[in-house]
This record gives sequence, structure tokens and C-alpha cells, in this order.
Amino acid sequence: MQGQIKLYKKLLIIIIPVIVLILFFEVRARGLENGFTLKKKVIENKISDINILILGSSHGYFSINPDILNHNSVNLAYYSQDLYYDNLLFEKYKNNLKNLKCIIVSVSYFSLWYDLNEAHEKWRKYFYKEYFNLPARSSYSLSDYTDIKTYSFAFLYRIENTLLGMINPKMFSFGTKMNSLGWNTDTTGNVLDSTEATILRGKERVEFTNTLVIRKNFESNISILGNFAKYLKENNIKLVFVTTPVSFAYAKYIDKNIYIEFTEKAGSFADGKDVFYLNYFYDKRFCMTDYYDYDHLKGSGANLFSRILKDTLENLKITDKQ
Amino acid sequence: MQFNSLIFLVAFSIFIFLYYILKNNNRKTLLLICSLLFYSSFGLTGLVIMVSVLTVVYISGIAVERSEERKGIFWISIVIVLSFLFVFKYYNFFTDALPGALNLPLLKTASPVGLSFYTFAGLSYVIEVYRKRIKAEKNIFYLAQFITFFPLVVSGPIERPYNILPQLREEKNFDYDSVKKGLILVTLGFFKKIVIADRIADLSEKVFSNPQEYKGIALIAGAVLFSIQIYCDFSGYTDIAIGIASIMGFKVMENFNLPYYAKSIQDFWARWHISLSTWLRDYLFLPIAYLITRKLNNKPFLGMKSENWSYLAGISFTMLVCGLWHGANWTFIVWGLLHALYLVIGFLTKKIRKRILRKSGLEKSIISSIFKTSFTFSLVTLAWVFFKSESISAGYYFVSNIFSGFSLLTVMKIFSSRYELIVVLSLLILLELIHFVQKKYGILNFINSRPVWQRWGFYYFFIFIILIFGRFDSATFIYANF
Repeated sequence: MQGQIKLYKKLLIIIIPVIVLILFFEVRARGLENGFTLKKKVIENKISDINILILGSSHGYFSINPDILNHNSVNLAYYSQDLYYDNLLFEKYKNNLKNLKCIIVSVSYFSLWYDLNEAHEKWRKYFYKEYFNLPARSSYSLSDYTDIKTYSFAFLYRIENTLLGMINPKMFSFGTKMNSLGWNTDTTGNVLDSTEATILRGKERVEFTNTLVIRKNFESNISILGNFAKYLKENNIKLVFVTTPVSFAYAKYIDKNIYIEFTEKAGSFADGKDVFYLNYFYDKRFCMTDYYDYDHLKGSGANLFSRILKDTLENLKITDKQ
Repeated sequence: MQFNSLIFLVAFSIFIFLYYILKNNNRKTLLLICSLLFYSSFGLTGLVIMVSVLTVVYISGIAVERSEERKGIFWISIVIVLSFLFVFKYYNFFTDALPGALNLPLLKTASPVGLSFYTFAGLSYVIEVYRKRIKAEKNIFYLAQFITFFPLVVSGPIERPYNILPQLREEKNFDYDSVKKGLILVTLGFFKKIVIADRIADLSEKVFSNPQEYKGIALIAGAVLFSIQIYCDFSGYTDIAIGIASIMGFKVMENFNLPYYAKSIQDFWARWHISLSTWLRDYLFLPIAYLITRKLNNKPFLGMKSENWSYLAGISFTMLVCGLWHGANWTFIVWGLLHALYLVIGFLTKKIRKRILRKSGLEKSIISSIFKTSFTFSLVTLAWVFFKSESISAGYYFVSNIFSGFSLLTVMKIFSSRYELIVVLSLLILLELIHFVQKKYGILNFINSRPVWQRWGFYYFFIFIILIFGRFDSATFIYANF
């Protein structure tokens, strides 16, 4: 027993400084700027002027540059954001969006069946709670409680990155590569070429996105979209669903049945008057170098897409020419 | 549940506290329950398969010992145990890969975690009972503890029954030194795994997932990084496993002995995954070699001595099995056959090489030593390329482009920044310092011989390094897939 007490005493001497150090990094990590704090600033700084609000997942975040759309646009789409959070974000800010004329929601191949709470990046829900005070879609599971990211920003960022951020904020990047209107400015993704191996890896990416298609979420997502469309119609705000372009290495491997079901359902909301659906999934105006990865546009590719989208919105008289 | 997860650390802390509070029999029950719970965290199907293997092994042991037809029963037992491995690990591969396959349906169950490890442990038990080195275990409770022993069940070391079973029967008392040794090993293991292996994994993955983007020296750097990654991943896991066992008062066999310091491929296999290489040596290579020598009546065949034939045939088959053991993929087969080729060439040229070295006067020189170590490392790394590649053609592409450009700048493409390069190099220097201490003094001897302030300095240094540079969100251990 004496040996055990000796060990526990020594372990305490080791553990206490470690806990102090972790707490120190945790406090500092929570003070660092991240993608969510920036998004919050983006919308709250301009809220009363916003005419066009862009929501959706990373496809919208990467592809739609508000600077090109003009009309006081702001991009609130973000990595892994599902329709549930799109809706809650809008609900949170709708009363202050006094000049809102149009909402663009980027809907992806998997969106109608996707729930962030069941995806591998579900830790993002803690940020929605922390910064936007938005509740998670369902109650926490055992895996939530055993996931260190539930409790610690320092471990989520990695302590090394937190330390770097403390020394020099420019060295820390946690989804912070965005412009002042919330559009992604990270262009470091892999350069895609047309080799067989690159194209084959498109299959892996599709297989990953296919794991996000969970059938049981369909009804609730459709219900969210239905209520969303109804509210906007009642308040004379246009709603535009946009499916952004993907590389041919991605398009080649998609599940055609899911795609058809998705486009039919997304299209069924469109009435050509208040709700529109614009599908650029197979758009051939984009080449491999326009992509950040298999299904996200970057830099010049995103700017080209934003110009195309701008023209389309003007042609459909959703927005006025500027 | 992986060793590098928060849930494991919390669960293990509670477990070890109870383990030393409980009395001996209750402690053993706790160990068995926790081993089963630990394994069931990887899926219940796997647990059912493991319990089935355990049942077969248990019945086989008793039957082999008691029956008059022991040879027949022994072989039937071996076939049944191997059939678990075949069905759940290789069936889909052979059904898919063999020409003119019978259009059999593919199995939808994924290969259970650690299947290769615990079936080999089970086979080892049956073989040792057959060889009368140990007695069959009558109490399934002890055998179950051996097969399901949670520190080893996922990725080994593949223990021998004559080492573990007697320890399971012993009464375990709290031993301060054993616990301390265990904690130091666990710390060292975490350093290798989550600081080095997981960091380097990002870099090597970049190259192997997109080799077309890299040329020449960058490909070489990618291959070398993978060599370091797999070593740190697996030996880190082993250190943690042995450390956990040591905290519980068990002595487990070593699995690594500075493998990249080997001076020949034969030497490499005496240092790398020792529990598997000695398993294959004892239960496969030596029986085959004896069999061939006997069949040839110790007479030369086709102008070559019978012992040469027995070595060549034995080593080729053993390395083929070694490759297949790692997984149902052609890349592993190529990896195993490459090692077989190295060993065969090494065996056939041994005398000539010795003669050349003796005549040149370099036999014991440091130059020859460095050359041998570097050459062995290069051969091992070349074989790892196929081990890691998605397909043989991808591996071939990788190897055939190794000499296509020698601009050092291309290596920078692998690293995201200069900072990343500096951190990786610094950590590798630290790893080499650890290896130096390990080789010269032994880690534990070195630590214990230092004054208190230095000892505590080491503890804090490594804990803070793990905390700051560790990748706590990283994936599983590579060898957990085998």
C-alpha cells in the first residue's frame, strides 16, 4: 500500500502542472480568432445593410464571392453547415436583416439527407452553441461526451497551433482564411490534374460524401426547407437554391439515383417567382485548376462562378443590375 | 477504443485503481471482463469471432493432449483456427483475385481488429501443447485471459503461452518499479506514436496519395518518411502495450530492437516485429527447413547442399506468409517476396561479401558499418513503398520515378512550411537521441541512474512535448488493421 501511495503522490506532482498548462492553453485558445468568430463579425457588422445573404455548406463558402455579387452580400455559408444550422442562423438574425431581399442557399448533392450531428465533423456544433447560441439538432450521445473536442478548444486546435497563435496570430489558421464578407480565400488545396490516379481519387471523395447521405434525415430537412421557403415568400424575400460546380473526376462517380432524387426535390421548391433553383453541378466552363479539391472551387474559379451567378440573378430579375 | 483515446486513458485509470484494490481472484475476473469490454468496443461481431477462436483453441488443446490420435487432431485444430483467418481476412481477396473464381458471393463482414494477432497466439498455444512444451490449460478462464489480454489483443506483441499463462496464475502484487517502468514506456510510446508517427503520417500520405506530383528526391523523402512513420507507429504502440502490461505486473516480450540500425536484412528481421518473426521462425520456417533436409536425406540436390535448399525454400515460403499475414492484398505479397529475395541473395552472397570485406581490410571499419546500415535501410524502405502503395502499379510508378530529379527544393513541397520542416527535423533528432541512449545504456537504466532533478526534468520534458506537439485527434494504429 505504501508503494501505491508513493506512486499516487508522484503522479499528482506530474499531473498538477500538466492540468495548469492545459487550462492556460484552453483560456488562450478561447481568445483566438477562428472561422466562427469571423463569420459572426461578418454578419453582425453589416446586418442592417445586407441585401443578399448566402447560406449553405462549404460549397457555398468556397464558390460564392459576395464582392462580385455586390448588393451588400454576405457569405454565411461554412464548412459542413447543414440545412438545420442554415435555418437557425437565419432565425437568429432575421429580425435585424431589415434590407434583406434575397437568400442564396448552396445545396449540395448530399444536402437533403445530411445532418452535421451525424457527420465526422460534428464537433462543429459546439461552436454554433458557443458563438451563436444555437442548440444542437438532437441530444448529446455517449460519443459526444467521450470526444475531447466537446470540452476543449485547445485540443481541437491542437496545443501547438494555440501556442503559435499566441506567439503570432498570423501563424494560426482555424478556418480564418476568409475575406471581410465571409468568402473563403484559402487557395492552397491540391492541384488537380487529369491523370488516371487523380480521377480515381475522385471516387474516394464521392464515397466520403455518400456517407453523409442518411435517409432518415430527408423528411426533417425537407420540412426545414418548406418552412424556410414559406416564411421568405410571406416576407417578400427571394430564395435561390444553388448547386455549385464539381470537377468531372467527382461528377463521374456520383450515385446517379441520389443525384436525380436530389435535383428533382430541390427543383420542386422552385416556382420561378419567389423560389429558384440553379444547378451548375455539371457546368463545363470550369477546368480542373479552378478547383480547390474535387468539389470545391477556389480563387479565380470561384470568381468566375460568382460572375455567372450574378448575371443569372440579374437576368432572372432576382436582383437589379448595378 | 484506441490506446491514444481519452476514453481509454480514463477507463484504464479506473481499471488499474480497481485492479490493485481487488483481491487476486476478483482481479483476474476484472481483467477478463475488461479485456472483453475493450475488444467489444471494436464491434460485437469481432467479439463473437474471438470467443469462437478461443473455444476452438481450448478444446483443441485438451483434445491434442488427451487423444491417442494427437497428430490428426492437431492438424484438424490448426486447419479450423486458420479457417477463421481465411474466412474473415482472405476469403474476399481470393474470391476476387483468383482467375476463374467460382463467382462466390463476397463476405460483407469486415476483418475483425487484431484477428491475425490472436489467432497466431492461439495457434502458438495449440502447437506448444502438441510439442509438449506446455500442458493444456484445463481452466478456460486462464486461456481466455491469455487470448483476450487487452494490452496485446489488437496489435500484439504475439505472446507465447509459456510466457503469459504462468504469469496469469501468479498472484500479482503492486510493484512500484514495474509500474514506474510501465509508465515510462507508455510515455515513450505516446511520444513515438502521437508526436512523431502521426505528424509524419500527414507528410508521407501527401506523397503516397499523389506520387505524380513528386519526382526524384521528393519521392525518396516520402518513402523515408513512411519508414519512420511505420516504425514509430508500431513500436510506439508496442511500447504502450508493454507499458500497460508492466503497470499490471506482467512481463511481455520485446517486439523491437532498433530495427533501422540493422546491418543486414537478416539482422533487420531479428529486430523488427520480433514476436512475429520468431513465431514464423519457430512454427513455419524451421519445420519446413527440417522437412526439406530430411526429404533430401542431407544429400546435395542439383549441385546445391540440402541445407541451402532448405533455407531457400523455407525463407521464401515464410516471407510469403509474412506478407500475407499483413493483409489480403497483392502489395503485401510483393513486400514479403521482396524481403524473401533480399534474404536469399544475402544468403547466397554471404561468403563472397565476407571475403571481399576481409581482403579490403574494411571488415570492422566504421565505413563498412555505416554502409551496411544505410544499404539495409534503403532495401527496407524500398520494400515499404510497395507495402504502403495502393496497388503494385502505384508502387512501381513510385519506384521507377525515384531517379527522375534531384532538386532539393522539391522536398519542400512535402512540408507545408519551413516551420514544419524544422519541427520534424528537431523531433527526429530527439528520437535519435532516445535511440542512442537506448542502445548505449537502456532507457530505464539511464533514467534511474540520473539525479532526481534530471529524472523529473525528463518526465516533464517528454510530457510537455507530447502535450504540445502531439496529435490527439489522430487516427488508429497502422498495425491494428492487421
